[in-house]
Amino acid sequence: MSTADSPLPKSRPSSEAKLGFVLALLVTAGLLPGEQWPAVALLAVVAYLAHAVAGTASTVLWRRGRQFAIVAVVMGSAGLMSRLDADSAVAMGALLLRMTVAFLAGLWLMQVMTAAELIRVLRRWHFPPALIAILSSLLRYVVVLWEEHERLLRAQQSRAGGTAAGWASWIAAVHRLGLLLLRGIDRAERTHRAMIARGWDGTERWLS
Amino acid sequence: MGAGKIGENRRLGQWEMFDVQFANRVAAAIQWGLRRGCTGRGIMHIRDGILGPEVCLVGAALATAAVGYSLRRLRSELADRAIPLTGMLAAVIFAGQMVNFPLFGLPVSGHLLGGVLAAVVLGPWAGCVALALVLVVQAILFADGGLLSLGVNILNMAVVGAWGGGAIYYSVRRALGSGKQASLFASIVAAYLSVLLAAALFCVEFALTRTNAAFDLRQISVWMLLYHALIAVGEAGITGAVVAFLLARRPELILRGATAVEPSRVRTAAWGLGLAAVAVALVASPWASGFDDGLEAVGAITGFNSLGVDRPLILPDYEVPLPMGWEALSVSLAGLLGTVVVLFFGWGLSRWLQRATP
Repeated sequence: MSTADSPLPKSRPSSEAKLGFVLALLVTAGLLPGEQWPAVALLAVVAYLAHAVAGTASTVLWRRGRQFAIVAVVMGSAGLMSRLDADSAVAMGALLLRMTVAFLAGLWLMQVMTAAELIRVLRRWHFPPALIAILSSLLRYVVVLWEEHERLLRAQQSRAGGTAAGWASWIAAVHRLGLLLLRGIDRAERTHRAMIARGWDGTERWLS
Repeated sequence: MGAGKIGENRRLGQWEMFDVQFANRVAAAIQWGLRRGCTGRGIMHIRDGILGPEVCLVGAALATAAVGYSLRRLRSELADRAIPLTGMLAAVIFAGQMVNFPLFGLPVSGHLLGGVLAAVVLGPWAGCVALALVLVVQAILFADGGLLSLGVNILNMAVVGAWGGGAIYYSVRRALGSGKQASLFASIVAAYLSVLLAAALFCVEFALTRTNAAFDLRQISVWMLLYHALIAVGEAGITGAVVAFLLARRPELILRGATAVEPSRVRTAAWGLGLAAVAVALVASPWASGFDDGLEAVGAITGFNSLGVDRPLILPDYEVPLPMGWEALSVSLAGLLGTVVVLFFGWGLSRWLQRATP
């Protein structure tokens, strides 16, 4: 597979720049010692400003922030319960600041990076073609399988006359997951046969 | 990438179509996940900032080597079926992680991790590659887990989950035979232990991080292992239930490749496993339980330990009461009993699931 054969436009440098920006934030925050926590706090402000520029919805920040807060509280309390002294408190504060920078940076990347951009970047970075093909397959079929799951859920609900509760909901989830796996494997076999019919010989090529 | 681009560019190839149609659908799935709060709940994912960059770098190197090796073995074993099968397995794991399992009496839900399930269905190589790619997508497109710690996450969840879990699964199945009951029991034990192995590996990584030296690493390790012991019960339950479902519907998927083992080898393998369990219990448990747990430590500091009323416990302080005061031996016996309890739990759950699955 050569990149020159690809019908895709060359990866825009902005994709690499986005990844580079996030990695630079993360590495800088990780390398700064705990005593320099104001510098880490400044990085958090930079990451927040990046969200403002990207136009991240406040509801997304709020929803994901709540989830992050739970992890932060668990980490903080575990650290303080393990050793309750001033050094540990400073170290835990620095750790939580670093985690905040990482949370904001990761969320920003999620807002600005699309699946297609990710694949383009990986191709530019010469990732193994088989790995990129499997990743593309994952992105292609995850939506299909999730729609399949929604159909299974609706079928279960219509048979049961509503949403299951308690133990029955657990059993229903197991059945959906098992059926999803079986249907996924069957679909993979059908896809494989269709690929063979189109001349697939196990070599990844980008069609034009 | 707007839909209007279709009209502007008439030289659309497969990947251009991918851009237009599927990127939008994946984005819609992300939005769906955000609306329902399904993303960002990856409690097993290590977030950036917890581990130092140097540890992340080493983890990334090891993960790259492991995934590269898995990819090579996968392509040699599955040949031209490797890509569609592994891609679909990864999609199933990704979608399967969004299926909520209610935790009775708690306002939260759990979900499958999938390492052992993937290894059981398609083997450890496909499982490792599939799970690694799921983690890549979750980290970059869903902000689940860190970007810098992506390699460490792949190492802990994909490599330990699929390789470690797969090794335990195939070892137990080899020892006990290739029947349905043995396969189910092996998958439950492998799922349980793979989560604990991943947690133990995280403790090592946390200890190696230079900036975390201010914490009491042994206490944090105890907390991590206790917390993950609960998660491991959930993972074992979900994996066992799905494997029981597959054994009832399509047993050839699980029993594929299983061969009858000669009785003498079964006995040898069973003895080996038994001795390994005893060795782990005897050697590891005194180290693990030789100090107060975190709650007791806080209790000692704050003084609320004195408020407690002594209750009769089965094994107080994880020790079997021995008349001659052999502390190490009594703790070891307690560890051994714990191991036996886990094995009985797995065996009982596998028997019940096999009967309960229609």
